[in-house]
Amino acid sequence: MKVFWTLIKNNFYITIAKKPISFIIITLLPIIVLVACSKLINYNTTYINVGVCDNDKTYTSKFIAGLLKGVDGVTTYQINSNEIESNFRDNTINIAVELDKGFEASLIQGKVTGITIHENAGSNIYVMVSSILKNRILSIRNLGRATGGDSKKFYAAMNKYIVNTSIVQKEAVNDLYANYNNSILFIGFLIMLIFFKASSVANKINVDRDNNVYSRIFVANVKAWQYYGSNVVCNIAVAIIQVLVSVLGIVYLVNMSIGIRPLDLFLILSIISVVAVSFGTLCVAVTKDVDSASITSTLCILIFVLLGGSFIQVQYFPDIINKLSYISPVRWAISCVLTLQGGASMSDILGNIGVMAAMIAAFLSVSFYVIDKRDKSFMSLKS
Amino acid sequence: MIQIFKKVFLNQIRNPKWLLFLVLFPIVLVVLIGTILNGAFNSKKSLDDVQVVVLNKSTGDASHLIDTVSSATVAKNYGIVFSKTSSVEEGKREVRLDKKIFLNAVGDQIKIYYNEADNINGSRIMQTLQGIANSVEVTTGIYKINPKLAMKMLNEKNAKYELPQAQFTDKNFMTSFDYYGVAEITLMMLYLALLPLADIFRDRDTKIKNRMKLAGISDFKYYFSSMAAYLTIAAVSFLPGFLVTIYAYGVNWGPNPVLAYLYLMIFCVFSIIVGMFLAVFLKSRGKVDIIMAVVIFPVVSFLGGSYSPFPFTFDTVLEKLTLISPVRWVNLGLFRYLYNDDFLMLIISIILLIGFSTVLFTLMVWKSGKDDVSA
Repeated sequence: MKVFWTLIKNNFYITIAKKPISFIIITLLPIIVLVACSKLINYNTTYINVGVCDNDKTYTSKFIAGLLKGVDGVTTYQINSNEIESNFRDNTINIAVELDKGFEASLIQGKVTGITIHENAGSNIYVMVSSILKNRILSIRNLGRATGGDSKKFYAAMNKYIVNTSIVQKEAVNDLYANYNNSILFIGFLIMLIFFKASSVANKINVDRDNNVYSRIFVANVKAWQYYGSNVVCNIAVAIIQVLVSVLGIVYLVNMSIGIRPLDLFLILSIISVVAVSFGTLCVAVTKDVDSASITSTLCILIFVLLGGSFIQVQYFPDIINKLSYISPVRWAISCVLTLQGGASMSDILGNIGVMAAMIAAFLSVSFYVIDKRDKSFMSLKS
Repeated sequence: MIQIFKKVFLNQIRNPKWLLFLVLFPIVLVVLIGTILNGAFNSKKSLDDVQVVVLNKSTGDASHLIDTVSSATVAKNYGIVFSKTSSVEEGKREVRLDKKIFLNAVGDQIKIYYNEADNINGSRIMQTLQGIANSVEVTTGIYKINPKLAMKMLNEKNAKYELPQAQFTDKNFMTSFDYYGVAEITLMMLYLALLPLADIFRDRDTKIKNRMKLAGISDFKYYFSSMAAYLTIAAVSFLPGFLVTIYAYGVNWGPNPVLAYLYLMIFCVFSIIVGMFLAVFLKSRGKVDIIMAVVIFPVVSFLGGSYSPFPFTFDTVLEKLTLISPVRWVNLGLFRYLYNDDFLMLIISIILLIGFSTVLFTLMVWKSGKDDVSA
């Protein structure tokens, strides 16, 4: 055990204490940047992007354009008429609302003209925009009819009646939190960083192998499990430091709504970190050099993250990909977060935690089996 | 120079793991991401009927509003399917597990619960309810002034009214494959930075580079020939993936795909030089690997739009921030040219890539020469 402890201390020294500034830059800087940018990560692939083209620029047209802003699941873009088609062409917008000059004047006269909803043929997202605009526009038109074309009376009636009704109130299904729908993208990116970092730290073994440090260590009386185990322990510690900094940053620096308790988030991210470390160790165990380990880990991490549902929710996956995505540990972690965000308790995610624990056991078992075999052949060479 | 080119090229052929990675992985990524995202892109085209569960314990306006919305005509026109639930907890459970929308009418209010993972449909129902509630308020207001007109309005069939619409029928609008066909090829080209590392560190550790210098091969020739060899490997490796995107998935690379491929090669040169530059300046293979794997690749690819497609504008702070990523320059350059007929970003990206490549290459040759002198 003394050897094992010495190796752990040495790994900590090399990774953290030897060059602390380098450790902060390499390990914590991406996390700090990510946390700092968390409020800016407001883009969601599955949102409906609405182009708003207000050529009327009147009180009513501004009110109508304003109705689309801040609606959950909708992102608005202010565009000009001549930009509508190009924005459709490059998929920036999925639907556009164009308000022509004279839009308000026609409403005052009790008519609806000067508004066009542009959409792609075969699309039916008009129903979303219609649910926001249609009844309001018809109500404003009715006010125009009731006020007999008198703009002063019309504006007064607009101010009196066309306001958000308080009869419908949004309630959070999770009794503790609300408005956390962008947080999954942030968590997904955080998990990706943890996986890349864990694989890089594990790959230090291959660097040692290339530099013959590996051989020298085994010529001394060090067992393979002690050498690999010390790397795993150090790697887990580094990953948990990353997780801790991230969670503290989320809570104290940016006050971002993740939708679950910070302690629960810390626990889930810590478990996925151990999965990441055990996976990194597996990549190193089954490869023989730095390049092979880099290729294998990069390939698998990208697939894990994509299948994990952090960038695109798994509900949108085709059925076969959805089933396939269960192989990704990231999916189980994201599922934990989503379940807790929905208001469930920690006991509801025990199954997911069990699956991740099984993955850790499987990755480490295979790693140590491969390492043991390699160690035996190395020892036979030594003797 | 030709000998160095041959050495690097043959070395990669004899040890083809990178070659296989660069050939196969773009194809796997394009197929995987394209398939995954087809659903997400399509979800924006087609909104299904919304499942709404109702618990109505109100007898006032809230109850009346629910009756209005759930009437057969209104529900059909708004694409809403109503059912009843027995309790608040049961309603919330259906929201959590089945992503249904739960309306709980209590007193004068309707409390709406929806799963944040399906906020589009949640908003849809909320906005419909608010719009109809507002119509009722307006009609009530008008009734006080002009009861005859208000009664007339009540008899109008607003549920069937549609706002004026115009439809685009152009088939050349961007699809998920168009986006990810480009974005995943450029992502993999970023990973070219790893390609030169093994050779550079081995040549340095085994003193091969020093011996070449003694034989009269300058640093410039050594790095330039190596870079040319890696570029040749990149050009060959990415070609199958590029052709798959065109012939299997119909990805739009513009009227002249050959020119698009040449443009991508400029980015390949940049990636290769970044890898060589870091190898020369940082000296430790482990350090280079960690910086690339932990900082450069995740940050540059994320901001470049390799995973999540950011808008092609520069309006928000995040959109401006994405411009620090060279992957973003290349993707934007192509997309703005292909879909907005805008050459500016394409030209700017070419200038930036060539400019940075030249500066990094010059610094690398200078640093290498300086290290050799001090050694």
